[in-house]
Amino acid sequence: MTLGFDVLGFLISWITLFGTYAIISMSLNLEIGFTGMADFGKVAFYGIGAYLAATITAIIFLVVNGIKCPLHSVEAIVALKKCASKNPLLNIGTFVLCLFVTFFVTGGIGYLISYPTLRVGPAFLGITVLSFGELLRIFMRHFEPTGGTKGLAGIPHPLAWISNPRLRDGIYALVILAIMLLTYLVSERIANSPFGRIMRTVRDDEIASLCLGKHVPRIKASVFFLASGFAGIAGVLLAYYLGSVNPDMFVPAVTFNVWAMVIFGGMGNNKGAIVGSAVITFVDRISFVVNLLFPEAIISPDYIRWMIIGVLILVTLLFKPQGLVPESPMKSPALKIISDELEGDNGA
Amino acid sequence: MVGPTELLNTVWIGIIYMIIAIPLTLSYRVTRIINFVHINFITIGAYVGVILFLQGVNSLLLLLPASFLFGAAIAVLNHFIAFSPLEKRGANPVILMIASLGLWIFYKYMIYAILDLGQKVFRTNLFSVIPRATSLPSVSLGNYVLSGHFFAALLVAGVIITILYILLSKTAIGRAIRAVADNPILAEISGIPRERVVSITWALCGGMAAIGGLLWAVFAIATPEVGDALILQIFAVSVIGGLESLLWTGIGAFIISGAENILMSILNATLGVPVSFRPFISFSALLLIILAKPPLGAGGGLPYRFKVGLERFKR
Amino acid sequence: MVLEVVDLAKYFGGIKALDGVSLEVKRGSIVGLIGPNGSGKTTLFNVVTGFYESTRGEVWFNGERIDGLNPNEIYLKGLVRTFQIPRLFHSLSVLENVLVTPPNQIGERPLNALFKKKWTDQEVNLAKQAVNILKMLGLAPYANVKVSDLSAAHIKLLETARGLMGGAKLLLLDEPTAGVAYTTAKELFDFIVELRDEKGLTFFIIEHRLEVLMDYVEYVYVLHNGKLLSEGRPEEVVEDRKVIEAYIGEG
Repeated sequence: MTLGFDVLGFLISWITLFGTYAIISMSLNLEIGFTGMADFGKVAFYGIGAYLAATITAIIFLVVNGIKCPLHSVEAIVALKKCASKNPLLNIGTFVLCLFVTFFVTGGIGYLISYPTLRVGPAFLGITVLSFGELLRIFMRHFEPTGGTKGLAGIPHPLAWISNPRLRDGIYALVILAIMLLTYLVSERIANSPFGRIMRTVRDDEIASLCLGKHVPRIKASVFFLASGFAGIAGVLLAYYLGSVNPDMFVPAVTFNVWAMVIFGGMGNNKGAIVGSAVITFVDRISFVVNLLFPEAIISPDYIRWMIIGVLILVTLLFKPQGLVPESPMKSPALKIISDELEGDNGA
Repeated sequence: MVGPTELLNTVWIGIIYMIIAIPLTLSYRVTRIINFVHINFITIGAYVGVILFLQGVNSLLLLLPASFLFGAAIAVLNHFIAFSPLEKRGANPVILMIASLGLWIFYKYMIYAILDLGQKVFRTNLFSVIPRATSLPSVSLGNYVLSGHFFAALLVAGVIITILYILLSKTAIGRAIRAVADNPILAEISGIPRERVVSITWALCGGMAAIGGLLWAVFAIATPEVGDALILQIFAVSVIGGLESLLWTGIGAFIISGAENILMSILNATLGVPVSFRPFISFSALLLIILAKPPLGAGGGLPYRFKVGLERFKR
Repeated sequence: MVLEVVDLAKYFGGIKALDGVSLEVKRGSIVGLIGPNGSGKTTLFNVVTGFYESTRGEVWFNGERIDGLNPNEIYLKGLVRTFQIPRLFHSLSVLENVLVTPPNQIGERPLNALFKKKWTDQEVNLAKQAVNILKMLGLAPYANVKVSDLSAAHIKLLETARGLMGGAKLLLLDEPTAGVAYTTAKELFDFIVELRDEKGLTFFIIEHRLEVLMDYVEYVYVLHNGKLLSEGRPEEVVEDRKVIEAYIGEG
């Protein structure tokens, strides 16, 4: 293997991974950081989003090109590869369509799934969604129309019509960063609004919040809708990046990876989620390279990586529970007016 | 369709579920922590048995206490390195649960790493082992053979439940455990040393769950995923007990086991439902209970009642 | 009649926390609820405010039947309750704790929250009102302080007065002066009287410190073992044999 280290390639793959995970991290942060909902099943919505994108895209491309065959079949894969770069508008249009559809579908599913858990304690939400995700995975392994355990492949990339692969990957990474930025802006806007304020009351003391007139179950369900929608979007981005999906990509380990990012980065603020995902995806990419360089390591680096994640979560909670970026108080427009007013009084 | 095999399976699986779920309920009641490391206790118990078995320890009688000790040790270790320091800093139950999550990930992959290393060094397969330790002689009933392990499991379960019952109801430490579980503030005021009671509870619960893991390995198989594979069912069992009643946890173990074996067999035979869909049954049971009779006392609960229309005045 | 409770009962399995209590609170009055520990006072509050579902009986508020409603719905009708151990939102500032209380804020709906223009004006207005309330309480200098950094007395004060902005008509106060110095307790009650006089609020107060309570309330209910033991004007109740025995019995 050549020793030349492909820095640009590494950066692009890292940024792609980082941007995708940052979106999921921010969505988890909305749930646990601001609202106190411990969700152990983020991977379920990530997976649903990915599968939706893969399925919708495959169907659209096959239908438009008049090809009739099962989505997962070899004919389909070959056909998809052939028509992937013919019509740029179709690629981009499908991409945008998938983003919208997925957001609302995964959001809706999240809203429904949260229903049984709105009243009971935090453990039940976590385990219910975790189990839901696992059951979905088991089901998808047997679901032939989407390829069962083999899944779907050959998904046309939104930028497949760009012939230079480096350029294509680079632009896609930028697109992901743009979507991440959008997610950040939306999350920040929500967090610094009155809705964000009552999210925090649910986190601090949901019973008191209820007694002060806030419809706590509805708040939780709304947060879950939004967060699940974002996770779905991240899934769409992943599906196009990999070009294929299969059920065993979406295991609980993914969720726990995201948890580590949120805890390490700092719960309760969106910047923390971004920082956490940047650091951990970077370490992940580095260890991937290490794994390639030392394939005969005495202990598989994969195991070591996970042990480190576990220790990281524990150590962060013990010694720096605020994470790298501590939570900052809410930025409400009212506060500026107030400080003016208070200052006026003190002066007078 | 539903024959003696399913019934026998219901019994021994139910026994193991009971042995693993009761400590989950107990540890939750005393510490109020949803402990993910419970999953690891199972796997650890299984592999302590495997490793000793491969070294030539053939008797179940010796493997049981070994597993118990390891499980107990890990449980108490967790208390001192994680739960106790976090509680002293005023951590809320969600943080403690997440800490247990971090510990779970760590132990899980440490076990993988150790087994991987062991496989390479000793050149045997460790990821899928059945330690057929000898126990009691088997009995033939016509076409069916009741293995010696079956009787051993019955015996072990009987002994453990009896010891636990006597411990909790007749001894001073048992009374202390119950006091801390039911009314921690009053227990504190009455001078009961909470630290010690909690440590002993962890040891008990970790050890018991480990024994469950060992039995599973002996009966079925030991894999590094054995704890994870069982935890949904175990949690469903504890939820049937409302995370409160040890008796109902025990009963729930057989309900879930029965549903899994008998119901699954029926579904498989009549509707062709694949056997790997078994977890759906526990999950459905879990959802059903959360919807119908949510254990609001356990794990915090919201005094909110979902109502339809004017049903609120129907009294 | 602001609040009317008719034959209210609440059983927890075998325990009869409330066993057929009937009482009423007139508009604009300050009424006390006393009784030995465990007599059911907090349970009564919990049932009235929807925290628990009653086993039997009715609760009427401003001519509307409210038993069976959820706590948030009852709050929205103007019935506010405080907690014996204050339940303030520890990660929010003093100002935000007050700002949270007005109901049905535009920005509280997630869809609206996305569009800042929709709720900025209301937010600023509410914030100004909140500052005024803080000034009234003498907490204005602490407006941006995190609640977890306040002194115990200030926490109690904030817990009591937080409900004011919520459009409350009846306030149920659960031991508002517990753990507070005598002079502060008197100031708190002076403040309560002032609120009643100026804003026409009604107060129903659980109190253990009889020496403070008796100077301020017009009427007192005495609860014992889940039942109404005695009622009347403070001077009468204090002389009542049954009441004295109940309190001595608990000692």
